[in-house]
Amino acid sequence: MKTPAVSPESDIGAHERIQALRQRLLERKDRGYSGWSMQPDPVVTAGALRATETTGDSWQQRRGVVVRERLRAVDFALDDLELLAGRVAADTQEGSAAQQEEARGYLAAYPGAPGQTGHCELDLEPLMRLGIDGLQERIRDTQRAGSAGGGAESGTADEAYASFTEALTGLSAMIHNAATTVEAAARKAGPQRQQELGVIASSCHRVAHDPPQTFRDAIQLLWFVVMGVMHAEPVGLVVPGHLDRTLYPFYRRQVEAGELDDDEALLLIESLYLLVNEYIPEGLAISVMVGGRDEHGSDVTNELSHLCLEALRRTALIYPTVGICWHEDTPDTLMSLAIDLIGHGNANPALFGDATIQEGLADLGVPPGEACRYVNSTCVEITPSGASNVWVASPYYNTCQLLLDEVAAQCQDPAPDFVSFQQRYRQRLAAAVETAVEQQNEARRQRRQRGRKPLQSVFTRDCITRGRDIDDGGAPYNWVECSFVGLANLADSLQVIETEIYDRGTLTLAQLKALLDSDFSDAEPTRLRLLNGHPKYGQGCPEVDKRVAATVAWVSAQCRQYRMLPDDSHYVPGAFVWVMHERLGRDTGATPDGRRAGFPFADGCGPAQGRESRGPTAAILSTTSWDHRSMIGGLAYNMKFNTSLFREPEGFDRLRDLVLTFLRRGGFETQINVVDAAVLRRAQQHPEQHRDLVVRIGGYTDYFTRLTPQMQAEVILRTEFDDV
Amino acid sequence: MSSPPQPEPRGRVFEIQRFSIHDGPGIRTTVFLQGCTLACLWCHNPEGGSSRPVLSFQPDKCVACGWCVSACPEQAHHLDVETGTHTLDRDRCRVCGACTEQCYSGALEVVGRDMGVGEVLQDVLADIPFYETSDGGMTLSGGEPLAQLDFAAALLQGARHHGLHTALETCGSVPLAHLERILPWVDLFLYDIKESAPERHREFTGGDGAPIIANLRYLHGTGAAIRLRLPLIPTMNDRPDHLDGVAELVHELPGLEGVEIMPYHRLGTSKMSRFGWPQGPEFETPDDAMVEGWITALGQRGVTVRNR
Repeated sequence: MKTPAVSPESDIGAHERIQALRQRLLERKDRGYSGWSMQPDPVVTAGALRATETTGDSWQQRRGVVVRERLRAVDFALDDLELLAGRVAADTQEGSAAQQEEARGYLAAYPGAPGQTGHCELDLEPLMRLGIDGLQERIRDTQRAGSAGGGAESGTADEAYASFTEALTGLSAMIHNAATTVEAAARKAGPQRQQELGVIASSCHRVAHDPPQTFRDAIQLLWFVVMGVMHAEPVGLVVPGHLDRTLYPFYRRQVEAGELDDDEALLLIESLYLLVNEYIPEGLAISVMVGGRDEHGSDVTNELSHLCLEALRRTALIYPTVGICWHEDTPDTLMSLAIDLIGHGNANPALFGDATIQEGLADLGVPPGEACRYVNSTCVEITPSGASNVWVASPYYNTCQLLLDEVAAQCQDPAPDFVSFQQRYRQRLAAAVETAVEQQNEARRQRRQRGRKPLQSVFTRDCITRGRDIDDGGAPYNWVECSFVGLANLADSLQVIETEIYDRGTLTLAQLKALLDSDFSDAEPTRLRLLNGHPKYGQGCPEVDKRVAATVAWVSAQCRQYRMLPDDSHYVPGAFVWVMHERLGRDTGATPDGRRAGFPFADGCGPAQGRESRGPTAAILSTTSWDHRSMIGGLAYNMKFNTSLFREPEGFDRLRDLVLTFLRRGGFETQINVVDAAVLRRAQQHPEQHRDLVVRIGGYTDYFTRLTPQMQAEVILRTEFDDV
Repeated sequence: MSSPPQPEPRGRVFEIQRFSIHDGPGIRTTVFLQGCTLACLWCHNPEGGSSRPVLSFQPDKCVACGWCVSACPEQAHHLDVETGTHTLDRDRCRVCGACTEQCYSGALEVVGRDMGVGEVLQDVLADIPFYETSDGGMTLSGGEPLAQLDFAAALLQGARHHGLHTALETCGSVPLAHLERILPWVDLFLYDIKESAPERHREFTGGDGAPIIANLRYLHGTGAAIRLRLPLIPTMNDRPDHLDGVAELVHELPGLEGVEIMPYHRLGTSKMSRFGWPQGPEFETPDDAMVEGWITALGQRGVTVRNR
């Protein structure tokens, strides 16, 4: 396999172009812009207005019209350097006051449905083959064949097809708007730019109806669909996903024909990354994945996998996060590139254990031909690509608050021994799970009545053949994923409780509660005893590590008991956190592990902050001491290294060795920050000088200066492994 | 001379450093043994020079809980209740460690612990998955590890028995027989060359340089893998004539595994106060440019340094 000969220095023109575009983007962001934020008012109004004219139709059909009109109302902007169309204009026309009033009245009568949306990679294969018009034809053919069985409960298949057609019509119209914007810009441009814009415009015109022909066509169309689904339905966070699979046929055909080189392909991927950053508000996550295996188990890494990583170097923004699906045959070139980027402070890519995840998916009944294509749907929550109506992070459980509640309850009614103590805690956790499952199923019921996402349905497998909307049970996978936050603090706390209260009798439960309630005031020596006098998760100590293993096995078994609507789907556990370790930690009192009140919990599956006292190897042994496979709902292990590790080339090799060992031992995902605490502290003092300093949080990436002061402190405090 | 090997020798260890990445190839665990045969002015690990456990006391970490006062059988700790000031009477302290078991702030620690070979190896073997990925292993350091010959030999042999790559960091100031004894169990020697001029060697290290060079020649003659390590201390041994001496040695011994510069750092000096020892001499901490200068100077003498 050929490694792309791309380096930032080899093409100064391209480098300067990306830097200029990046600068403009950051300035727009500082003014509060995001493409997504353009969606609530003007576009919603447009959709709602037209819907008022369709009250006779079914809800499904009206949703088709709403989506069509919203897409048709999207305005685009293009400056003198951009290479892809698709940046939503900041000055979309509002309707008149009267129109807005009418739209608001209409919207008020149709409240949205609860529950999670998006968090998926769409099925773009048929689109890339057939084009939008070809898909329209396919919908007509399927309808004519009348094979669809579904729709009987809440709508007919014909209504679904009508709405799918409307949605695609809107998508074509939206892409035409983009083409018109490009043509308008071309009329004012110099001859060289005019030529560029001519290519962009004709590409837009082509993909508005026909199948993509070129790499540019394909990447342009991919963005319009991803953005269109988020913008019009609206759906939260649709991800670009496996670009090295979706786009590769176009890349290869053009490279072989001598029509495309890696420099140009890289520029287009960078342009896509910029569009993603323009569109998505800060503080979220959106993913690209590369590498991994096909349905025959063969490695799929190709030149585009490398380019998707390389594109991070010059863009160096928070989006997208790029993940590698690592397996034993992942080429060294890809790993070297990954480690090089990480070592140079990119906070990307993340590494996912492909075998671990595929085995976890297989346990959920995903057949091998499908388990090989999944996506970290934003942070680390795994959803099957192209086939997902999976809700993620529904909800986040605060495992430590439940422990504090149990300690309080048992002060009145103490358990005779630790086993009973733990059993009662688990009953409490089980009750929380049961309540949450009921809530999620209720959200599913309401969604079936009041939801409808015709455009997303078109790009979700089986919706067309079944004649069913994704909100009406059209998708193959309808799991609900949840996340258990604070597992490390929980294990450390249980260790202290068993030792101090039940084994040694050095504390009573009531004394412990008093210490925690007072946040250890006037009891710092005791807090230090709880914190430092007991082994902790992350130190490679089996006694504590097995507590995490036991908790995870137990919650996994609990979750397996439940069935989710509409098709008796799985309730899937996870342990990822996004920013919830800080948010939940802020609201939770002191815990028996010596953690002070309000302090963040450990993030993901990693040890609690500052407790990795035996270094990264011990921490990795702890984090991989238990089975990650059941945690398809997401699991991240954050490692943080001081830049001094990378002063000599061996540092890069050793980081690679750590990462490989983590993955080989069944690690689910790891992400690595290479940053100096001193730099972070300077950024706290002078945020304006560090606007683009990117750090990795609980599975996602964010600008450091944008974080809350508590979260900034948390990032600084996370154990930083130095070299020795 | 050493006594015959016991089935389970015990020895004094002052640190077991995991994820050690500068003491041989790959990811390693470095076991630091107490006791040394030299006394270098710039010693980086002064606690390794002592052959006994020492009590480390860092008053800035003390939270004035007073638990050590009641734990100590010798009344060595005193806490001024008014000011919260904790003083340690080292004349009374017998380094029994009772206080450290009650100290959770990290202010009091015993540095140096008697351990069995099996106990040390258990710690070392924990990281086998990392050695396998990285072609790493175990390194013995110190102090001078061969000052505890039986223990060092048993550790090296035990590590080898488990298939580990072994490295030995040595100052070379040991009887030749020591080297002969451990030679079969060592995959790589990290061999310190501290000073070329004989009289300065004695002044800087308290020991004779000639046997060190003789031992090195012996090891080289056996075909052992050797990496030379050059501690360079500004104003002391960063002189052109010492670099000439190093170059001469390197050219005399073809096939060395490499030459590494170990730039002076002040960690050793800062440690002295923890043990209640008088502060030793301090030297200038070399910056990158100075290290680069040394690398260039050695390069001009035909010696390639593997730091970069």
